[in-house]
Amino acid sequence: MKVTRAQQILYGPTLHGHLHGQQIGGALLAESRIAPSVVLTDHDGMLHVRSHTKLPVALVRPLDGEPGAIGFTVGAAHICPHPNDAADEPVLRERLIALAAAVDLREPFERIRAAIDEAQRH
Amino acid sequence: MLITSGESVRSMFTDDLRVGGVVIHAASDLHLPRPPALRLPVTALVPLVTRLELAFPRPKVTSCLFSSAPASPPPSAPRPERPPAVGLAINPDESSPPEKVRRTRIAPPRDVVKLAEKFFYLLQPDLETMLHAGKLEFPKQPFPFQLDGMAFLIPRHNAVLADEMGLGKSMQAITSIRLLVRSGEARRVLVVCPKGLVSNWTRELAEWAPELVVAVIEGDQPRRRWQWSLADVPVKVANYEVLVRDRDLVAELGLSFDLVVLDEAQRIKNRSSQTSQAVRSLDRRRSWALTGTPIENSSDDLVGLFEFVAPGQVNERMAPKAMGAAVSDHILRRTKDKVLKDMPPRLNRDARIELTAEQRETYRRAEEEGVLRLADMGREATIQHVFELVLRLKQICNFDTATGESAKLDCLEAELEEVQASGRKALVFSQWVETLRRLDDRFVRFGALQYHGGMSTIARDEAIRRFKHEKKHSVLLLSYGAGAVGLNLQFSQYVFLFDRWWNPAVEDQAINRAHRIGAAGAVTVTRFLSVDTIEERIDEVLRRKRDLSEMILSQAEAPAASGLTAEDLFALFRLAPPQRSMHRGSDTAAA
Repeated sequence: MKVTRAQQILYGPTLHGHLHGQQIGGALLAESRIAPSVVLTDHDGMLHVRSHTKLPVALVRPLDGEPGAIGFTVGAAHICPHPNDAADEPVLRERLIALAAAVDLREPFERIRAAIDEAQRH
Repeated sequence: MLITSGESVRSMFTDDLRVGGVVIHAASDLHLPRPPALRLPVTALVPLVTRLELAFPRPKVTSCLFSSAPASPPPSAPRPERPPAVGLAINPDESSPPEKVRRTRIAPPRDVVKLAEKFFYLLQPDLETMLHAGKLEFPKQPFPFQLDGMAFLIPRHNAVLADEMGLGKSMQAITSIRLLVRSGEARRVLVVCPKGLVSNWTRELAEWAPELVVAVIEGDQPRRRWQWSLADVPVKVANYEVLVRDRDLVAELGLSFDLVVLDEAQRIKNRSSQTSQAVRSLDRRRSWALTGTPIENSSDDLVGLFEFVAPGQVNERMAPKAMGAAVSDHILRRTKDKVLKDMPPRLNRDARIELTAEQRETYRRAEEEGVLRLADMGREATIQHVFELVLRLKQICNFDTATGESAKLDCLEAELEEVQASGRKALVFSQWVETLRRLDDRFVRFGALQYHGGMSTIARDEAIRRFKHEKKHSVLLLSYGAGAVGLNLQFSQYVFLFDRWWNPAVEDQAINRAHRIGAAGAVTVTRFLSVDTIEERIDEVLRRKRDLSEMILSQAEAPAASGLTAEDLFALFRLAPPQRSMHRGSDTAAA
């Protein structure tokens, strides 16, 4: 995405959250062909998407990263739910542990980065 | 003094004051006239409101669904048992340390240009996840290099899987077919293989893709027409001969295939052959070729193969290096020494046999007479004449035509006694069915069984079954033609090459019936060579030419051929070949 001058002026210090939360996250959720039940991201900025969806949102960190004071560990990933979803943590934990039986929760982000690299080379 | 209009104020002057015609008396009240009200019309400016739509660019979203994408189970579902999944080492347990996971990614082929198509491959889950999520069960855990092979095949429309024999090309192709069928990318798949391997393919399909419905095209013409027409059968298996016979029928029925897989694809190396023409005439979207020997004799073999796989990709005028570069994204070749470091070793030994006195005499006479005849023929001598002499001499190396004596046979018998005593099994290869029959007569006590092209498919399958399951059968006698390809006989620990084939690639194929994945222990290969005979001379020539295919596949400079050419054959008897027999395409004896 290329940020316009108008966006810079209008959103000022909230531009970051606007881009990640509304522009990118909102578009992805709106276009999703399957209904997600939870949104996982490995990018702090994308937590802003929580303002644009009713779905629980959580940050996925590698275990060797900075240890988080909140959240829980699933497989090789540490999960930090969005502060708004703290109450849903037990449900989130149950779902993600079940999912992690088949998927390493960090792995899809590697694919996404590979695709982004390819797009930038293209 | 403050004077306010319209108000009465007391004069503060001490003396009368005359202003114009008005006299203001001192210390008297002043009544100022009220001035008329000044009304000014004021028109307030209405602010101009401009409505500006800020068209922030929306990100373009491309989404693709993967049929095998794992779905999150409902929250109330019990935590699923982790099946003994293949190649998957994901650990969802919170308490255990994370494991190192191998991921086999499907990379987009080089000829994919569109970004959306590249994304399709880049965003696919790794194979381990797909296999796990699809709950695909396998009889055995695939090796990592086999997963690499699937990741190579799945995205490619034009591919040659040229793994060395015994590395599981069929299994890799079957699993790739399975994934393509499950994802909906392939609905009509045709597997074409040699006649003798049809039952092998149906067995392996049942083993590695049990849910796939398979139809074997066989029987009389009405039956075959019906089988070809079956619409709800995703995989059909036909042998090359049937395909040649039904070429017009397939065209008449207007059949098209999402994928055509050729097994032992070296069969189509000759572009003018009916087999090559028949497979090339198939209407297809994907073309895969499986062969352990993409180059048997010369780089022309590869050109023939690519006429099916990717027509026009290479031509016979290309230098080996350029040809290697042109096909590098379409060919995957692995050898056992590279990918199976832990595989039991293959122990090669050349048994140099001295002919018996009678054999030697018969041999000497036959050679002298033959060479003399060739010399007398001069420029009339053709490759066929030389070939006949070579065959005759090789037969004498096996058995003395006059007395029936055989130094090789005596030696082999001693070896087989040891094999039987140790409870092992042995494969014996010869190029002649007649030789196999004579060996069979002699090896009754070893429970010898025969497997060659003179037997029916049912009889051959039965021989394999008995050899595999009945302990009393220690020896299987096979012809190179029928037994060198496709059979899985890895429970055999000994391989004997009673006589030598013209091409080392075919010998390797024969040896790899035993030395392949699943081999329980070291495989000992004994190659019989009669000392100071034509066999030694052929061996010397073949040794010099053995590495051609590897050189081309590694894009290196390579010699023109690896089999025996007309020059080679004439040189065996120190004769100069006549020029007219030197045309390419027919000068390779091993062809």
